[in-house]
Amino acid sequence: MDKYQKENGRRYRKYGFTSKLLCIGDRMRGSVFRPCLDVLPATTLEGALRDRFPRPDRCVYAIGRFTKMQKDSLVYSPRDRVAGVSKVPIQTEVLADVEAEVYILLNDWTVEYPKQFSMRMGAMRAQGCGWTEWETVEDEIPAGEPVRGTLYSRIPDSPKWREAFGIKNVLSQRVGYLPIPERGARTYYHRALFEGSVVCGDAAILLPGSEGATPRKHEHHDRMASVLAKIASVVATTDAGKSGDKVGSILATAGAVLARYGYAVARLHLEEKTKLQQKSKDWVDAALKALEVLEGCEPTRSNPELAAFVLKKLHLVARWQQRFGNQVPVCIPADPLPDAYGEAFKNVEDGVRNSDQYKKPKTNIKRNFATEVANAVARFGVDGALDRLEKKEQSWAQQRQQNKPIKGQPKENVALARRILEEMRKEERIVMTPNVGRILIRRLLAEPRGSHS
Amino acid sequence: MRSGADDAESRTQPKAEFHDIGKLIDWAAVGLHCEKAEPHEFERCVGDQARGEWGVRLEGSAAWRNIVRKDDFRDLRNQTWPDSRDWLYTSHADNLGAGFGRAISEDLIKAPPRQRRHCLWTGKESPDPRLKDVTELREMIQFLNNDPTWEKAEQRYRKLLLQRAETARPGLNVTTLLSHCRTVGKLARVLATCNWKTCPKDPWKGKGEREGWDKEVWSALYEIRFSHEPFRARDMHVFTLIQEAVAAIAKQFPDNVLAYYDNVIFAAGVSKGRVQPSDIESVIWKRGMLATRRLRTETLQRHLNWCPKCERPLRAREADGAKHKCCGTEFRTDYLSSFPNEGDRAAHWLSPPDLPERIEEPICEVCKMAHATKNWPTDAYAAAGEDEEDAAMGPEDLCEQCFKLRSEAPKLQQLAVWTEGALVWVHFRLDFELLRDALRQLAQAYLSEVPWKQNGKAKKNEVVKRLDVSLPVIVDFVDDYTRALEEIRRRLQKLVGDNNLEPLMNNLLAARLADVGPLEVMEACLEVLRETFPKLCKVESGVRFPIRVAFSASNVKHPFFQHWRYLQATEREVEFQLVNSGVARLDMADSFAVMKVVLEAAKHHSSSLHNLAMMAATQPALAQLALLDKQERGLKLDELADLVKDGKIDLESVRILANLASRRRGN
Repeated sequence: MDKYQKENGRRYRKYGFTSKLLCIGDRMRGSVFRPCLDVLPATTLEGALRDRFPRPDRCVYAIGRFTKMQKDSLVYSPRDRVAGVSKVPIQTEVLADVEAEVYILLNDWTVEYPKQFSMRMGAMRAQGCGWTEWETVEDEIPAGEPVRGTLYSRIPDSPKWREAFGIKNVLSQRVGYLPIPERGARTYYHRALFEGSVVCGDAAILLPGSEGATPRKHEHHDRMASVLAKIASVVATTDAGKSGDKVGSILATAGAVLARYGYAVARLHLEEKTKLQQKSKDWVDAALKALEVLEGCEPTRSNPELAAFVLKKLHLVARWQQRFGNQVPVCIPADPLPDAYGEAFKNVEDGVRNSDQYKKPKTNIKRNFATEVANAVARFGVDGALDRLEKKEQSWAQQRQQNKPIKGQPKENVALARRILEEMRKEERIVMTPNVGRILIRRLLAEPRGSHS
Repeated sequence: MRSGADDAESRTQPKAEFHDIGKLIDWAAVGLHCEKAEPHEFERCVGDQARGEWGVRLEGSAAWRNIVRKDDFRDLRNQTWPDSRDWLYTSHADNLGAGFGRAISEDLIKAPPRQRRHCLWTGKESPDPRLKDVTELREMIQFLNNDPTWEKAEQRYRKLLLQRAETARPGLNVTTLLSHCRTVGKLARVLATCNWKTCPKDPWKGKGEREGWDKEVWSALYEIRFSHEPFRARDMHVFTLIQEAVAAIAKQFPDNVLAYYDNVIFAAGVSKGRVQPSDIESVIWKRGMLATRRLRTETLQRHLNWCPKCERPLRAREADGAKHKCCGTEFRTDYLSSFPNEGDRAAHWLSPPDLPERIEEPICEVCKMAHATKNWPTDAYAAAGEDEEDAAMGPEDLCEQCFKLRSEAPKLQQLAVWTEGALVWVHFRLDFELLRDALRQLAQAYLSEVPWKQNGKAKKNEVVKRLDVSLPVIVDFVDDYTRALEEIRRRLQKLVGDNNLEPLMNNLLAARLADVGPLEVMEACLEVLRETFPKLCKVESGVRFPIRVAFSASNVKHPFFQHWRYLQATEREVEFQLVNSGVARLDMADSFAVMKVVLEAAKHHSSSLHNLAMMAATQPALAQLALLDKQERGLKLDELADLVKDGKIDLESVRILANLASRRRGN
C-alpha cells in the first residue's frame, strides 16, 4: 500500500472513453475469421495505460466494460513481404462506436493521470483501430465494503490482483487464461477469472444489479422520444399542418441537405424558400424550428443523418401530441459541438461584411445575377466561378471602351461577388463542396444587405 | 466390520419402482374394493389366507418386498424379510418423488377419483388404463412372483403406466405412474447407499422414519459446456462429445441421474451416500468439458415438510397459513427440483480443480485452456503419413485434446459437401427455470378448475398459489420434449430431404435450403411444438414458453462460429436471424397469428414494411405514427398495426420476416 492509499484508503477514478473502432482480439490465429472480444480484460487496460504513462516500477490496476458498441468487421489481406504475395483475406471482427467506463485504482502514480487524454489500445492499429479518447467521469470513488456480485470483466487470478480489487472470496469461478507479457518480448498465460464468475469484491468490478447494464437500445429510444416530443411541441406553435397539407418534397429535400451537409447548410436551404405558398411556408417555419431542437439535443446533434430522418418525417412528428398527449419529456442538452460548415460560413460572412464593397451604399442586385454566380460555383467550382466573373468583367470593359450599351451589373456588385468568392476560396470545406458554396453565395448576394448582420 | 445381514442387503437392491404397480388394477372391477382406500398394496391378496388363493409367493421377490409396506402386515414383513429396510427407503423416496398429492390432500377435492392422467401441456386426458379382469390380476401376481426387473415390467405394462395417473384425483392427476415409479425406484436406491444402521428395521411409521430426518439430500442441475469453441466444421464433433458425456454420466450414475436432456443433467443424492456431486463433476472434467451447476441441499425433514409432532409430512389441509398449527413448522410445497429463486438464481460455473496457474506459449488456439503441443495441419499430415498440402488457412497450435478431437472427428456427412446455397441452423434450448414456472402456472390453472370441498375452499387460493412443480411432472415433460425433437428431425428430413439435413445434436440441426424457403423450415419446427405442447402455445394460458427456439440463416459457407454465438444466447421464445440483415423476435403463443398477418402484408406492402422498420430503428413510436398514417391512406395494414400496438411484434422483426418470405419456394 503506497502513501496515497494509506492516507485516502482504496479509491477508484472513473473514466469514460470513446472510440470509433476498437479491436480486442480473441486468440484464433489460424483462421480466416477472427472474432473480437466484447469484454475489456484488465490486462489489456493495464498494458495500454502502461504504454501511455510509462513507469515500469509502478503498478496499474484498471477494470472496465463497454457500455455501448456495435460489432462490425474489417477485411484485409496480410502481405508476406518476403515472398511478395498477399495471403488469403482475413475478416476481423471489430467494435465500432464504442463507449466504455473504466475504473482505475488510485495510487501515488495513477492519481497523477490527466483528467483527459488519448491513447491507443488493442489490436489492428495499422488498420486504424484502437484510438481512444478518455475523460474523467468521477474523480475519486471510495472502494467501499466488498459485496457479492457477478464479475463483468477478466482479471488475472493472482493474490495481487485479488487484493487490488478487494476480492475476498470467489464463490463461482469461470476460469480462462490471459496473456501476460514478460521481459524479452515473451508472453505467458496466467489463469484468470472471467466474466460471469461470482465474487465478493469491490462494487466497481461487479455488474450493477442482477440484470446488468441497462440496454442501450432502450436508452436511445427514450432519448429520441424526448427529442421528438420536444419537436412536436415546437411545431405545434406554428401553423404547419393545420390545413392538413402534405409537404413531403420540401421536407425530403431539406432532410437530404441536412444529411449531406449538416445543420448550417440545411438552415440556409430552408431560409431560401421564400417564394412558396403560405401553407408551405408554414412547414418551412416548422422545419426551421425543428432544426433548432435537433441541433440542440443529443443524439441528433452529433448524428445529422438521424436528424435528417426525423426532418423528413416531420409531418408525422407533428402528430406526436395528438397521439401521445402533451407530456414533453426533458430534453437531454447537448454539448456544443463544432459545426464545420457553420464555422466556414461564419468566416466567409465576417470576411465579406468587413470589406469595403459590403459597406458601400446599397445597390439592388438582380436575383438572376446571384443565381448566375451561384450556378457557376455549383458547375465550375469557386475558382471556375471567379474565372468566369473575370471574363465577364473584361467583356464589359471592352463594351465600355467601344461605347456599346452594357447589360451587366454595376461595378460594386461584381466586386462584392468577387470578394465573396475570394473569401470562399479560403475555406477548403466550401471549395470541396460547390453545392454548399452555391447556397451561400446566393444568400449573400441576393439578400438585402445587413439583414443578417 | 460388515455383518452378514448388511452384505445380504447390499446384494438385494430395493426395487421401489414396483411399489405402486397395484394402481394398474381396477380393484372394484375385480371385486376387491376397500371402503377406505384403494388396496393398491395388494392388501386383499397378501394376507395369510388370501395368499394361497391368489397364488402370491412373497419369498425371493424384491418386487413384493417393496409393495407390501402397510403397518397391517408388520408381522408378515418381519417374518418374510427380517433384515430389509426397503420399506423405509421406498417410503422416503415415495415422498420425495411424489406428484402434487403430497402437498395437497386428496380429501380437499370434491370429485370422485379419476385414474386417467391429465396432461398439463396438452390438456388431454388419457383413457382409463386399469386392468379390470381377475385373470389379468392373476397374471400380474404371477409376474411379480418371479422377481422381474423393472425393465421387464415396463415392456409389459408401459402403455398402462403412461396412461395411469399417480394420484387419482381431479386436479392432482397430472403425473404419469411411469415417471413416478421410475423416480421413486432411483431415489430409493440412492437413499439405500447411506448409513441407516441407527434406524430400527421393524416399525413402519414413527420412530424409524424420524431417525432418518437428519439425512441430507442434495439435488443438482448441471449444464455441460465445452471449453472448446467450435470453429471449423471438423470441430463440431464436440457436440457429439457433449451428448456422449451426458449419456456416460447417465450410464455411470443411473440412479442419481433423474432426468437429462440436451446438455442438461438433473441429479440427486444423499450427502453421505455413495455418489457425491464431485463424482459427477470428475467425469465431466475427464471428458474435457466445463459445467455450470445449481445445487441445493436440504434435510429429509425439510424436503418432506415433516411435522415433528404429527410424525408425518404436512399437507395443505393441516397447515394454518404458512405455519403448521401444532408445531409452527413452516409449510412449504417445494420439491426436490426447486432451487433457490432469490439471490442465487444464477448457475455457478465450475472449473476443473487441477488447472495450472501458468501456461507457456503457445496456448491452444481452440480451447485456450492448455499448452499447445501440436500443430495443425502439419502434425495431422505427419501422423497420416501424407504430404502436407498448402494450407490456405494457416497453421494452428492445438493442445493434445483438441488435436485429438479434430483429427479423430468423423467427417460431417452433409456439411462438408455443401458448397453453395443457403442453410438454416435450428437450435432448441429448454430452460429449466422457465419450465418450472410454466408447469406451475398450468398446474395452478388446472387445480383452480376442479371443485373443492367446503373445508378446502378457504385455503384453496393460498394452497394453489404456493404450489410448486413435482419432479415426475418435469420428467414427463422432458420425455415429451425429447420426443418432439425426434419428430422435428423426422419432419425436417421429409421436408428438405436426407441429403440436406445435418443433425449435430438432438437440439441442433442444420438444414440446407435447396428446394425450400427458410420460413418453411421454421413453420415445420413450430408446428411440431404446437402439436406437442398446445396449452403452452396458447395466448390465453398466459404462460411463457419454456423452450427457446432459434433459427439462423445464411450462405452455407458462413462461419458456424458466428451462428453458434447467436444461437446459444437468444432471449425471446422464437428468434430468426438472417445473417447480415437482422433478427425477427416472436413469442410462441403469437407466432402463428403473427406469421399469418406479416406474410400477408409482405405480399402486397413489402417496401412499406421496410420503411416502417427503418423508422422503428429511430423511434418505435414514430413508426407507429407512420403505420397510422399508412392506414389512413388506405393501406390495409390494420391487423399488423394491432399486433405492433399490442407489442406482439416489432417492426424490425416484421422486416426480417418479410425478407424471409421473399425467399420462399418459388420466389
